[in-house]
Amino acid sequence: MIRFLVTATMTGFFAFAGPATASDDDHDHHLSELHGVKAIHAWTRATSDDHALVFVEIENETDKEVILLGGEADNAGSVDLVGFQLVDGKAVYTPLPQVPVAAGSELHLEPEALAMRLEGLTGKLEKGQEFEMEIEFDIGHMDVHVTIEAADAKTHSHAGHAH
Amino acid sequence: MTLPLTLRNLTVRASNGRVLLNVDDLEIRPGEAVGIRGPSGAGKSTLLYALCGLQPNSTGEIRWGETDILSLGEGQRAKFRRENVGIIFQDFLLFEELTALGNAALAAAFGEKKRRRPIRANVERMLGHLGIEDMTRSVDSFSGGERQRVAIARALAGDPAIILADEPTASLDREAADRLISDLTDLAREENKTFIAVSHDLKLLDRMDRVIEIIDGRLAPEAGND
Amino acid sequence: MIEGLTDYWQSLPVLTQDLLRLALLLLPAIVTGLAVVSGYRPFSLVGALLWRFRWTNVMFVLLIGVSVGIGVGLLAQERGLRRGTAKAAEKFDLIVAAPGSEITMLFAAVYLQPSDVPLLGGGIYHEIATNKRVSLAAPIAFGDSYAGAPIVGTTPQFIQHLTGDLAEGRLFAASHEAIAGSKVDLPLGTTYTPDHGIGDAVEENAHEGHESTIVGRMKPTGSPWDKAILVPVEAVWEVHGLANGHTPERIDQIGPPFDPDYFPGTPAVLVRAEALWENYALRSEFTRSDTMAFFPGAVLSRLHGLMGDIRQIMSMMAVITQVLVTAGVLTGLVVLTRLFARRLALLRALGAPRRFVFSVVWSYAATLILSGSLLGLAVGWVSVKIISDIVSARTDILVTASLGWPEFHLLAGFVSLTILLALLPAALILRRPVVTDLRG
Repeated sequence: MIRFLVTATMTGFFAFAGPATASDDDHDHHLSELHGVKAIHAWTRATSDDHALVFVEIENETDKEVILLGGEADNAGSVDLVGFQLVDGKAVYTPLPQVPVAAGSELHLEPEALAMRLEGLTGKLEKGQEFEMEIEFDIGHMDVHVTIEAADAKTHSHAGHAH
Repeated sequence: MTLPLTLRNLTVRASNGRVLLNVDDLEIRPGEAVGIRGPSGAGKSTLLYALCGLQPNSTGEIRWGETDILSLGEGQRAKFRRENVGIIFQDFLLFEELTALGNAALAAAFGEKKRRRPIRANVERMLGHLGIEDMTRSVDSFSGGERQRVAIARALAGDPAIILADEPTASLDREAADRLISDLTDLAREENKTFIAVSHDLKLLDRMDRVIEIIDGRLAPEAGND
Repeated sequence: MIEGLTDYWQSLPVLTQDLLRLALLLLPAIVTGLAVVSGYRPFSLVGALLWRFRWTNVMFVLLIGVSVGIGVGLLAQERGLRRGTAKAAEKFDLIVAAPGSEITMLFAAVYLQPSDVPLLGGGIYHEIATNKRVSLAAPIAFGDSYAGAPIVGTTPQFIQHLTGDLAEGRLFAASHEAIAGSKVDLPLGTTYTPDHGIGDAVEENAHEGHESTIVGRMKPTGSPWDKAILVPVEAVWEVHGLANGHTPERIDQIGPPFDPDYFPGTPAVLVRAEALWENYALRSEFTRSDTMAFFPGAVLSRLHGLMGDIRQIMSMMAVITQVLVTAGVLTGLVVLTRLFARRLALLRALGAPRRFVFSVVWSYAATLILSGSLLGLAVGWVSVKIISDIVSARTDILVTASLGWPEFHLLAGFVSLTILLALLPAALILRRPVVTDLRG
């Protein structure tokens, strides 16, 4: 009887905890961490072109400056860190060697600012799907899940959620 | 080439079904000049337009040589007219902005490529014959008589076997009309054309081989010139 | 296959892509034209008809021309305005200000549109100016004006950054000296007393006793700064009865370094680093609870993005308007063809094939459309110049718009679409009864 109660309680607990865990998984999916540096909500836009921009929020919760250097992705020939500039009225993304993230500060890779540019994509990026890529810091590589949003998306669909 | 006309049981109706013309039997020899007279609204012009396949709602048989024009489709009728029929209208129907040559050689614009050169040559010859000296002048400045002579050249441009004329002298003064009558009838005769003219002009009708009369859409008993 | 084509397309030079796009857009018109007139020679006849109804045709061509011209003119103008506003903001790498609206600050600091904004204090300015990545940190202090020209307090380094060498005169060396923008109608040597406020809110005589003299003139920048008077930021503070940014011992100093304790505050600081990545690092660093850092170019690009949406709507509206006008003209043409219906009936009586008559009417309409479109290009070209001048004069932002590929593509699409539409009146004319028309 006691054993039944314990089992029932456990079952109940897990049954209750189940969705929460799933939800956490879902959120964790959008969050990667490397030695106190977090990457949240990595996303890109659906495209059939051979290039795309990946955006992500980086939080440096350490007490040292970390340096963002670039990235790698299996589905792209190259990944460059690029910065937005308006040249003669036209949007231009210029490759950057690095961008430091000061201790305790955030760096947002977002439209009309910084981005990771994927060149030589091996396939279409379709809305709702995702792929993995690595973000390269001076302190190591971090795996992130990149969500593919609509072709005209301006933010990650979970932007604004706390993690 | 000359073509005899055999017409049997021709009925032309208006779009509302009313009978406009009913001709049981009419034969015209090749090279014959036939005048059509009759009161206004009797169906003279209707007969003329029916003879060249322009009149809609026509039934019966209109046979030019071996060709029953009523059995042809619209495109083939147009081809038949292009190759065999020249038409002259009461008010000339010229393009005012074109030259005498441009008007008379109009068929060269849409005729088969091989026919273009002969058409132009024929037109120049014809205009010269009809006394139109300045062929490159716009017909805008021509007198009525000159215009109708350009219209004759246009009708004869493709060397047709049949010439149809609808009141060709009605818009001309007497003097111009007389000249036109001799020009037209002489040319038709010289070139051995079948010439059918609707007219009230007695002088013109006098020069025809035969005159038929239409009254209330029917042929009256013939009172020919021969 | 499609992927291969896409790759090939993307490998082509931009000019080739534009030319090909133009050709592709014109292709339906060209193919239709060739198909309709092949084998015939309708042109002398078409010329005759066009001449006969020349005044009506001129009216039709004018209608198409003006509607096309206004359409392409507006689109080119929108692009010119985008380029002009971007060019005007080009020298403003990074702006640091107190937290608030980026757009308000963009308009205030870059386009000199008056705004009440909170100030950044000396401590923060000091922090920015001494950051290892900052090569230029110039306070931009606005709020006063003279004779309608905004007075902006800044540093000699900023002026050099903005225009390089001066067009005439020299840089200010004392707080009572000023530099005029290229379009400020005040000769060198003019002495003035600044008014407090700008525009309708101006308070004259509020700064009585604080005279300044124009000692130099900037080269044109193509921005509202051409109509501004630039003074040492120290002067702005002094006329408002504040400390002038320097300790009493260095009271006559002009420009940095400023002493944080004697720094009264500035609405904005222009920050510049040597490398783009450093600018991004600075932006990240100064995006925090007490400061806001933004790239004017990025804010502008977002605004342009919004304009891009509007542009799409405008393009659509332009095409719809042009097509409606052309449809109107073609309807007019159907009415007009009644006038020459007898002559068209004559052609058919003479044995002209239906397709020939069709080609005459279609060529007539196509001539009107092509002439109207060419006239539209000319109207567009002129209207763009005129509107650019007006916009430049009203906004002080140099707008140099000109017709470009997007307009040519739009026009090509319009020509193809309407030339296809012109098949309709041509088909309608064939339905007319020949004998009825012949009898007039």
